Amino acid sequence: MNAVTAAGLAKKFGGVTALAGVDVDLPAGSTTALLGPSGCGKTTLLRIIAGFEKPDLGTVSVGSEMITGPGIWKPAERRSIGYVAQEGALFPHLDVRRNIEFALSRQERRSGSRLAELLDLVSLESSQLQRFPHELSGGQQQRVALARALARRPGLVLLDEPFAALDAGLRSGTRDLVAAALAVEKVTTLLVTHDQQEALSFADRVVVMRDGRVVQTGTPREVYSQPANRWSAAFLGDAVELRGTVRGDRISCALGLLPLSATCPDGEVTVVLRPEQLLIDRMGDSSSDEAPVIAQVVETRYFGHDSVVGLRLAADPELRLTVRTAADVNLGPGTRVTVRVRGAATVVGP
Amino acid sequence: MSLFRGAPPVFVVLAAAVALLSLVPVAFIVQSLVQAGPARAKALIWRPRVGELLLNTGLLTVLSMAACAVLGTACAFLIERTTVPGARFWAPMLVTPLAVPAFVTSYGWVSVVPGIDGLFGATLIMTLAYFPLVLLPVAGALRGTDPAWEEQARSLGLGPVRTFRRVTLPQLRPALLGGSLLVGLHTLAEFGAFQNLGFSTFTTAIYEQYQSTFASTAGNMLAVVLVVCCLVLVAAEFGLGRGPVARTGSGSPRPHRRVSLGWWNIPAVSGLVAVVGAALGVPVSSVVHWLVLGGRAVWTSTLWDSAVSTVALAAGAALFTTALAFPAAYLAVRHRGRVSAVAERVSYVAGAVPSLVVGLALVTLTVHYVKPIYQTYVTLFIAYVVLLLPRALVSIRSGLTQSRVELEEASRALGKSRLVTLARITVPLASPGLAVAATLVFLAAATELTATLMLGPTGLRTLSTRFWSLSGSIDYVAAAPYAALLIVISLPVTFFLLQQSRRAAGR
Repeated sequence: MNAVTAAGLAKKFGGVTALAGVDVDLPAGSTTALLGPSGCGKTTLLRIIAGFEKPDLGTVSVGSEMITGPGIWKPAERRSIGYVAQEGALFPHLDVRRNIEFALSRQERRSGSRLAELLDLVSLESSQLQRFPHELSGGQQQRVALARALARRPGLVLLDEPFAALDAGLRSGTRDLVAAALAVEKVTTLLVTHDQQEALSFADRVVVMRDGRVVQTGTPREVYSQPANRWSAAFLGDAVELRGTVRGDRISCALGLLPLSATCPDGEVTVVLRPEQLLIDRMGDSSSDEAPVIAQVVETRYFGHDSVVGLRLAADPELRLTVRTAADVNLGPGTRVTVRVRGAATVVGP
Repeated sequence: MSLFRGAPPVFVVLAAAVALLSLVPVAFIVQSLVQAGPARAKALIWRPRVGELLLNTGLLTVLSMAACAVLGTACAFLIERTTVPGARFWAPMLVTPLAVPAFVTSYGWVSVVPGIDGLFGATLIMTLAYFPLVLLPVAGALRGTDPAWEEQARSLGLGPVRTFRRVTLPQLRPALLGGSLLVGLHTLAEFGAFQNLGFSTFTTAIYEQYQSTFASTAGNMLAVVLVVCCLVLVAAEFGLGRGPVARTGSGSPRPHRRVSLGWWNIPAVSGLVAVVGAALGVPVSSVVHWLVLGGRAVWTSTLWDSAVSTVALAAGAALFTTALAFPAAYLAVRHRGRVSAVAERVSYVAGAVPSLVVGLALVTLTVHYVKPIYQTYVTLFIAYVVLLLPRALVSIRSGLTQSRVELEEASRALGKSRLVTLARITVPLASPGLAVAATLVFLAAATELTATLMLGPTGLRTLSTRFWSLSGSIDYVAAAPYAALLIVISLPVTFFLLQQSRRAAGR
């Protein structure tokens, strides 16, 4: 499979802008997550790549071949792009076997080898072949939909929020299974989702979208730890925002002198830290020799696997901090603690 | 009564009475078979005349169903899935032929093309009069299916034509079969139009028998064969129409992309113009033509008298039928059980019995057992109830499902009795469904011909019976104002049917 490139895509529905000039590259063999809140245009982008929707402007190319562009339009059925819709879109009048074999040639159907491969790939029992879609669980429906999409060995598979309709318990299992199946088939994948956890854990590249534009592209680690702006920082997870002054490669703020993840001109800026970058110790337990940053616990919320502690800084009582800490640390309100920072801060705005 | 735990006993009694009433025609069929005895029945059924009628009726029914299926689906596709100009205008125009009674359509055609007759003529009239019965459900299904299925097929490498055949068409199957069944039942039950065309089917033959010898065994045996034909159709639809039903996702499906027609717009629009012209233009323009010829003289006091009695009769039928259908619908929705399911199915099967047979059954019953109500309004109303109950039931049921059972429970928990709850919660919430039911019954009763001819009290003149006798004696001019009023009264049906089909598709 060749790389897929979408360039300058713009699309309006009536007066509403869905895409306002979007560029996305999908390197061959990569798994990319298109992450954004609902209404950000991510599904429209997916549907344009699939050939279900025509953009007002812009191009889509596979390798060197343009499949959508000015005066160029390759219909969906000739693109060889697999598509898994939100709720599977299994044909309700066909059983599992005939759904999966829908697009296979007669020879392939007769030999049955591809069917067996696909069943194996998505962990379906052959006893389920005669079932109809409405007799399957949500997770099974999505697995059948994936098997059907992969049947003709497409070079690219598009997944449109395929796990959104599943129960929380079923979701992660189905997601892992789908990821494994896609890895076996070595197929370039684009996943559309509004779930941050899903995007970060499923993909090796994340494209963050907002209001019809791409905000940021990078590895999951990059987009989470070095968000491009305040919105992106808050959208990808809990964030602690601080004001400070940059001098060289460091920033001076309420939590002391912190390293920066990227260079920035000197001056007043806003930086973010992730709550798990903050480490707290009871007063006096700290072994650090630096002048400690002192704070007081305001509240503690217990989540089982960890606790989130709200702090008020002694030096700046207006500033509230949220810290994620091990669950067994019992810090009642009023406890005085010292705060340390691990890793670098990211500048998200002036 | 334990079968309907918690159901108002009055309702159970009324629902049972209505179900029994619906069974009268079926009982009549069984009774005439028994009375004739096997040898006589066989002799009367296995004869060339019956074979000829069966061939005529069968061919006509099959041809009309096929033609309606093709025409209805094609029109539905054009208005729902293509960029044909004026889709909003065509939709009501294509449904309005249902507002023209078939016997008026045939009158319109016969007066323009006097040579029209035989199998071809009958098929043409049935197709033009009843193709909207296919178009409506198919258009609803085309709108309601999730576009994801078709997109999925495209992404799996199927072109538009193969996608239609392998994915869209199977989705339309229940709608297509259901619509075709209605066309078939209407064709089997049609009487007035064939009389106009001089085409003999079971209905015309039974009516001839009835006029010459009243309730003769020979006529009854013809009715037996006709009812068997109807039941075969119902059973076939029941057998073929099941299967995995289309499920729509939890989200609202996105609208379908319309096929851009380009140069195909020309044949598409000409086709629609031809269909609307034939189904609506010809009957309406010939009514207008005769009206102009007749001038003011044809608007007689007899005309207005029969208009008044038609409206009064239809209003009575609407009230009576809706009131009687409500208990059955209520039990079917709120106290679902084996008995209510059976009662419901009985009324649907009984609804497939042609009005002519219902008329015959009630004539026989009243003459033999309850002479005092023979040829009175009571019998006529009973006939309307039996004939129109199924369509009232459908609308009331969908109205009742709008009122959630939790609301009734809340009212009970607030200390209101069952009857107060019914009056203050259930009926008001179901009132849109009740209104639709009453309107549909009103419209059907206002244009009813066969049962009214057979059962109406002596001297009763309705628009349809007057129209029928005038057009039967080729007095097209005098018949025209009756046809015009029939069409005007029926026009709201277009609106209601469009509404219903939109609601069925979830919009």
